[in-house]
Amino acid sequence: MRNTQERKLSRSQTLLWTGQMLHPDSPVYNMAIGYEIAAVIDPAAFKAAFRTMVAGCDVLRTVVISDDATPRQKVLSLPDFDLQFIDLSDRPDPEAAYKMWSADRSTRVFDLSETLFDSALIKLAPAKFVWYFNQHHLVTDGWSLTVLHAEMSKLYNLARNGQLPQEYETLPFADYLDFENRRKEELTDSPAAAYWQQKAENLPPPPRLYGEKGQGSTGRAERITLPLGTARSEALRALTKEKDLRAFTPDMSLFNIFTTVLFAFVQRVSGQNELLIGAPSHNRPTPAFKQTPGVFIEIFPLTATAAKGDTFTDLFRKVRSEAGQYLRYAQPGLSSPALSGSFNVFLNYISGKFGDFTGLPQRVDWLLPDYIDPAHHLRLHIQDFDDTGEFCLQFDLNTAVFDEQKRQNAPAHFLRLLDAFIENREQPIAACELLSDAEKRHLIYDLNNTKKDYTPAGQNLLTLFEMQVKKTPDAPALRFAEEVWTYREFNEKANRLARFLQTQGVDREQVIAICAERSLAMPLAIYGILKAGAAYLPIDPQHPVERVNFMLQDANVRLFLSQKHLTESLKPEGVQVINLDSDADRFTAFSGENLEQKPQPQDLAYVIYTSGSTGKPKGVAVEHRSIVNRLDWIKDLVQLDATDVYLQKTPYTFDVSVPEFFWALQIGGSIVMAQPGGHKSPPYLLDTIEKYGVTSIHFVPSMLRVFLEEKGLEKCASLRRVFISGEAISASLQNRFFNKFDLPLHNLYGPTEAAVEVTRWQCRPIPEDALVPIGVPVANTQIYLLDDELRPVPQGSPGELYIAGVQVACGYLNRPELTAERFVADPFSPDPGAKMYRSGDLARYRPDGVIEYLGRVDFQVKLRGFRIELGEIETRLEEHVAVTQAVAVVRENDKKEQELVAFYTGEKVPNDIPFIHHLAARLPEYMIPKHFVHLPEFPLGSSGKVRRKDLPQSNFVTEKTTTTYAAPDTQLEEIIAEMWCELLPAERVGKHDNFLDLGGHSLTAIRLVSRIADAFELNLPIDLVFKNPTLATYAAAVEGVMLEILAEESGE
Amino acid sequence: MQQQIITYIETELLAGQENLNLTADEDLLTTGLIDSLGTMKLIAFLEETYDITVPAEDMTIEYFMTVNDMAEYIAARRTANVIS
Repeated sequence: MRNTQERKLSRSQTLLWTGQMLHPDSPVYNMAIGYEIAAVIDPAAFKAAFRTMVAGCDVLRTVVISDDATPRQKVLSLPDFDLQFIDLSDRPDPEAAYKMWSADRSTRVFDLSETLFDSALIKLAPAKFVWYFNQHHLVTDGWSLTVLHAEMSKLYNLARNGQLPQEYETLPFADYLDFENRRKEELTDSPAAAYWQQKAENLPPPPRLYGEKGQGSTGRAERITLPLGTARSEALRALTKEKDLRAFTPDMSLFNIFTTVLFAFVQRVSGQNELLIGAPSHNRPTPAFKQTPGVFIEIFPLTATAAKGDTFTDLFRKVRSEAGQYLRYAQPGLSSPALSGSFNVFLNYISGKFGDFTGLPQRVDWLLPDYIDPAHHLRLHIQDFDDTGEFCLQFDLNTAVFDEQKRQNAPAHFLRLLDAFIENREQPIAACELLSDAEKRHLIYDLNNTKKDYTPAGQNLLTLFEMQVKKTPDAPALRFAEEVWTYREFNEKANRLARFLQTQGVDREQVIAICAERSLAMPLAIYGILKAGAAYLPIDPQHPVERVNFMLQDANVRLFLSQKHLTESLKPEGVQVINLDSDADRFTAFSGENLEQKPQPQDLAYVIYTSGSTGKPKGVAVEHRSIVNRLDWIKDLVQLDATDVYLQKTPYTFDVSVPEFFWALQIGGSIVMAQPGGHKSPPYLLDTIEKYGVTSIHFVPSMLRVFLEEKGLEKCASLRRVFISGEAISASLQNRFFNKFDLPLHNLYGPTEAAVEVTRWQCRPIPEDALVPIGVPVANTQIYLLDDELRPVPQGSPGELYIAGVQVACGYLNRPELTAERFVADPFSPDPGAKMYRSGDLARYRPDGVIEYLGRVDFQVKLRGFRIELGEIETRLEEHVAVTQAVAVVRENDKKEQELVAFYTGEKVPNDIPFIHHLAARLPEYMIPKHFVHLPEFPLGSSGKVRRKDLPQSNFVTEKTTTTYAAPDTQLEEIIAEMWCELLPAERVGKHDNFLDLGGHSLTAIRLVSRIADAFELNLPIDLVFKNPTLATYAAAVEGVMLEILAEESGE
Repeated sequence: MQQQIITYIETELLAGQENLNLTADEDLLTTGLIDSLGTMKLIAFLEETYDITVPAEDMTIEYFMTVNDMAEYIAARRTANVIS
């Protein structure tokens, strides 16, 4: 027998051992195979042959010991193993019995210090046996399996004939350990080491397959086996001979093809163009190593960047080049935790074949031990173990990412792309259909089954209000400060104004502007304009006159309803000004009866301007029927009654105000108008809620955040519900809400272009890092998540959100081109004229069909609830004489607040004041950047576009202070700091130093845990340090564990 | 040149295999004598020894199937380098 001396682990073994230590109870590295032999096997001869093999094979006698967290391997001299013979042939269903047995047996976790393999011979029928052979990955790899299979095949044949050799030995793995050691130095400064160093520093983030993060992954996985069939396999082999696909070997060509298709798959289901997978290199550089049992493989990443419009051929070229580099530089001893832990998709193309078992027919069944590395989401194995000429794909799918439905769909999606490659590789990847008809039906129709008929039919925005006036004429309808109007009063005033407006030549659908401060004049103007058959255009009195004049001209406005004190300073051009206050006596003569002629459902109700990317705001024109549906839907869902008091606090230039003006008055409730500016003052809001018994209120999430921090929330006792919309709400904010209020919180989503809101979600407490969904579509509304080709994306994958149905606006006023761009034909509607609105928002479906908002597709951003087209700011800033080019971005400052920052080139202006003056005359206040940063030039990408990501991160926010050294405080911190110093390349460790920044990784974490175990007799989870990476937080966490144990012990 | 390449293959890539007696027009790739990994090692050797660079798009079977193919390719690359 050879030496029994202890040796260090190889590079690959160390990484595997680390992985096992991180998941000590997982059978993740079991490599179990059932060789199903369709012949009679002599159990005695088989056992003898196996004993000989174990005795002569060093890796089978290897164990791994790690007393002080430094693992070593030792080859035992005497094999303490007798192959078990199990006869299941007399069972009623031997196959099922074997399945149960192997499922249990293959998932057992090896004690690394005892033995690293397990084997048995199972009899299923007189001429049907299974050789079960399970090894820990520490001593084997796919190649090694074929080597040992061939050895066993040879030895059994000899044993059968009584010719087992006395002297038998396989080639020793120790030679590889020597080889790796010898190479260490020559690799240090090699181009290969430099290549991988460079690679490790530039790896893209792992993609989210089907939008899933894989939260809570334990590595539990299911294997889906997909045989490709002979025709497809032959077609693939034929492709390896094509001039553009050929490589050194057919296997390499196949590897390149499968990698291309896998990249295409990842790109399509994640929406990420920066692609990354891991693949094993067999690492057997010499003919002798090709005959040696043991683990040689090392895993290296491959990356590629898919460009929009790439064909399979385009991507294949990138893959071929990348695979060439991979092969050149993937050399033994160069893998690292940074490289092998970087990816979540693994491709294992296996060229090895097992053939027969010493001439006996055999089928190979590779058993998945139910677990994979928890960081891996998809592992794709491609093999033809039985050498049938037919490729077999095995998808190991992490169940934290792939639910049952996705486990069924994902392999089919891959297969469609593979078939597309085979059929025509010149087609763009984006052009391939991924989904089945059933999937498309589900996404387009089942999830949008929202049809609902509301009564009465043919309503306009005032139908229900006018009905309510008849029911409760003397009930209070509107309140502003101490002034109250009953339903009748309000209705009569509105009717009089409407009749007056008609005498001023108002036609149906004409647009009349309102420019008022919040007061009773505001709803009066809105209702009066609508009753006159016209549409209202709300204008913020604070807006610069230039913007006001633009809107008036753009909407072809002739009448301007305002207040005297406003029109004195704001002199709108080309319009007839009517002051609602000082001209009020001009309306009183008219009849207060309802008007005979009512607006029709298809008539325009309002025009609201939103920020436009070309520098000009755009007017969204919304019809009565659209906004009526929005109101009917919410009335159906949330039942207000006559006791409800709605606070009107949203600026009326924001379409969220529309339901505030109408909803409560449709059911006999009342509206309280907040004071001008009151919506920005939490103390005022609290007092108002208390004073008037407000029951319903709407917040933009950033304002809700401020509101919740206010003292005196107990004043909100009358509140019954809260609505939020306008920007994404974080889980932490909604959870904070639930800590203070036990009230329904409705999260609404929608653009102005689709009548306020089109989805709703009732919030509930969720983990802080989860997304708050935007919910499901409202009545008579369809939400489609589509790709660039206007096809539904797979369930879960990010897609652009399109809105169809009755709430879609008619378009942008007088902007036919822009309208045609954003309001496109709805390809899924039976109505050929149906339009859908392209929101520019990215969203995804959760498995239950609920929608999550992911962000903006383009540069339009939301800041404090306001929609801002960055392009508009840039255009305006570029109008300034000093500015050559401007780029506006939203940045988070060190207080975690979002703010606008403008970068510009041209003449450097010493301070921001000229820019602020310039922009203040052209833009609303919320669109004026907080900082103006001069740059000599912009960083440009290859397309010549400014690379926004590369704009400076600092020098406009508070200078990022480098972490100053803070000495450890507690004794525990001191002890742990000392351990870190020993384990990490650090001279000294302070309270705020970060384990990961100091170069800590899994292996260091294991050593650290081992040291702490020695010092404190405390078993800590290895990942504790990753969750609490600074010295102070880690020490606190360790102390927490200690206290928990003490509490448990004292409790016993 | 051919002999130098053959010696490298016999002593480095196929070390331990006896009685190879490789010839310059022997098919090394489709026979599986050298695998992809071996070919990459060989290319690294050729680049270093003959001062050429093999771009990724040239890493195809037609240039490396036989030692003669390699010699021809090296000559072509060198000419290309001189011209450029």
